[in-house]
Amino acid sequence: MAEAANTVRQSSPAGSGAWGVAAFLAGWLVPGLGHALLRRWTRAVVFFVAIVGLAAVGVWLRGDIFNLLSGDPFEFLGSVSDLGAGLLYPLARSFHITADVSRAAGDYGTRFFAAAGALNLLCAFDAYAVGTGRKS
Amino acid sequence: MPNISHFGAMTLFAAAASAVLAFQSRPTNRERLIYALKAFVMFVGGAILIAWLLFPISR
Repeated sequence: MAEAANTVRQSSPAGSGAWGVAAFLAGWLVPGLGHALLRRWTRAVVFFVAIVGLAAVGVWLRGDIFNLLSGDPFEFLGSVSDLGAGLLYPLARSFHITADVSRAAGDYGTRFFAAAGALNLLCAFDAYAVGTGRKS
Repeated sequence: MPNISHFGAMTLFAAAASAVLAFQSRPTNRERLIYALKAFVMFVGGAILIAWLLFPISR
């Protein structure tokens, strides 16, 4: 059992700063992709499903996907969190959703998308730690 | 109009966040399951507890 685990670990392309940065960027752009590059398949699938699911529900509930260039400081802060979702952010913006935060569901949608961004950043940092070999 | 109850949104969020945090912080599947269940109960239970604590001043 331990031998099998060691074999998997040895075949994993991890243990350098370059892999860490590549895994971070990939994981940030597409949830779970950083872990997939490092052959952590279970984590990759769980992160993808959870984060894309949260973001999709946020869009479905017509949450506010903040505009990075609005000039409003509060909207800017919100967009920083949304940007954590990587490519899901421009994708969600491209739908041109009319945010409806007058209803509670719309407000939940805003929080769901922001939470997806924050969780995805955590996952990207986790991918960095795995890529550099600090974590298995 | 898409809609979801407050409890439904809270449960969905708790499930997704618990799974992500468990897979990030625990190395084995057994530990992950235990951690995810604990985190889920704390998310949902904590929110219900806070709701009841705030109930007397809600009206």
